[in-house]
Amino acid sequence: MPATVGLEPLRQMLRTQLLRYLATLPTQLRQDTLVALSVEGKLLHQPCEALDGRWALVPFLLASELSTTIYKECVCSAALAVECVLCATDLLDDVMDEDITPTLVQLGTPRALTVALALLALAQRMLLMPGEQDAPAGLSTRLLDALQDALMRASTGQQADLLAEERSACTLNREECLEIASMKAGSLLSLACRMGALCADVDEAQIKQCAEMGRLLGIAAQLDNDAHDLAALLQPSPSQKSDLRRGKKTLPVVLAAHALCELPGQSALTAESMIQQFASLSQDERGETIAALREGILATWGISLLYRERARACLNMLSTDRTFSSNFYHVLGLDEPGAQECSLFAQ
Amino acid sequence: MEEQQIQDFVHRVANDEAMQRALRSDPVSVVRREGFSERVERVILRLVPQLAFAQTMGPSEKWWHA
Repeated sequence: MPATVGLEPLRQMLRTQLLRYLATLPTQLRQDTLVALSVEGKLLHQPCEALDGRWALVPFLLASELSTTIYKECVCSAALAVECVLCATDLLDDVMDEDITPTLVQLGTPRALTVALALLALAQRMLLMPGEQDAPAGLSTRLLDALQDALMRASTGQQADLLAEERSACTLNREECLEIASMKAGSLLSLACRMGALCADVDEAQIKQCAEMGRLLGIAAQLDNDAHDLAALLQPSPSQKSDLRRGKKTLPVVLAAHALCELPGQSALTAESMIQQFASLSQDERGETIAALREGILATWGISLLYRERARACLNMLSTDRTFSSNFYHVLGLDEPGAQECSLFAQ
Repeated sequence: MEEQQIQDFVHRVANDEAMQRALRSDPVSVVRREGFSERVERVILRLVPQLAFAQTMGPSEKWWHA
């Protein structure tokens, strides 16, 4: 039986609760918000796929795994707040990157931005709703504080990312790229895990450990995504993502630019231009660029795997006195203990 | 620093055909000789099919845009 089959009742419960919150919105705004929350990967997506609603599932499952006495209403609100925040930041990210997504096509940019704003407000409203009477004092405030802190970090990361677009790739280094990934993706997945831990009412050390695990997984995911996006350029029918068109300085682009810069006769300017114009280069011109791109992509993927290893180490520290479920590993995107050896060399 | 070790190893293999051949014939020995931590060893061994055999990467986790 696939691990995700057991997730469906939980997903259904979260969906029902989310629809109750959405029912409080004015009709037009509710309809637009439903569009955004129903795309692939989101909680309301139909027909449901294995990892739809993953951002809400992470905090709920983590809270359930950390404590047998969770405050179900509080954790449900926290999980849905994370889902709404991620949907909002996705919309904002797509608008800033000028991506053409189904939601932006259907709603247009102004309405999509309005939905993002409404989702951020709704997330905060969810956290301020009264939960169980015996929930720890101040839990709502701590959850809200965690959400605002993560949003501030993600905004800082987004700003740094946009400013990096104006710089030459060769003037950026690995640490700067990793810091941006940490602030953007890292802070949001850290939020999902911190929310779960806060609702489980575990001690401060475990809350920090959960948040750090999320941050590391978020960085890993961002690097994995960047490596695969750039790798698509090397396919027989290259697809060029908007990141490259915009001159986004992802880690594989920066590493590839540095590798090209080391070659005789190359400058920072020509290196970057060869990467950005790769799809329109002739076969002869592509040779050196392909080698540099492959190097940047593989080093980035390796560093992504390293961050997954570090996240796993965090999870291992949390699991000294408990066993995490298959569902939880699956939702986090980590192999269960014992499955690691099998996945070595897996394609 | 582990990130630097991975970056340097990928760079060396990418520019050294003898290392690529050695990795193809006996990856574990080549990687062990480097004296990496167990964690970095595991990562590098995952990269061997791509580094030495030019295979494509495994599927994306698709976390961010899922």
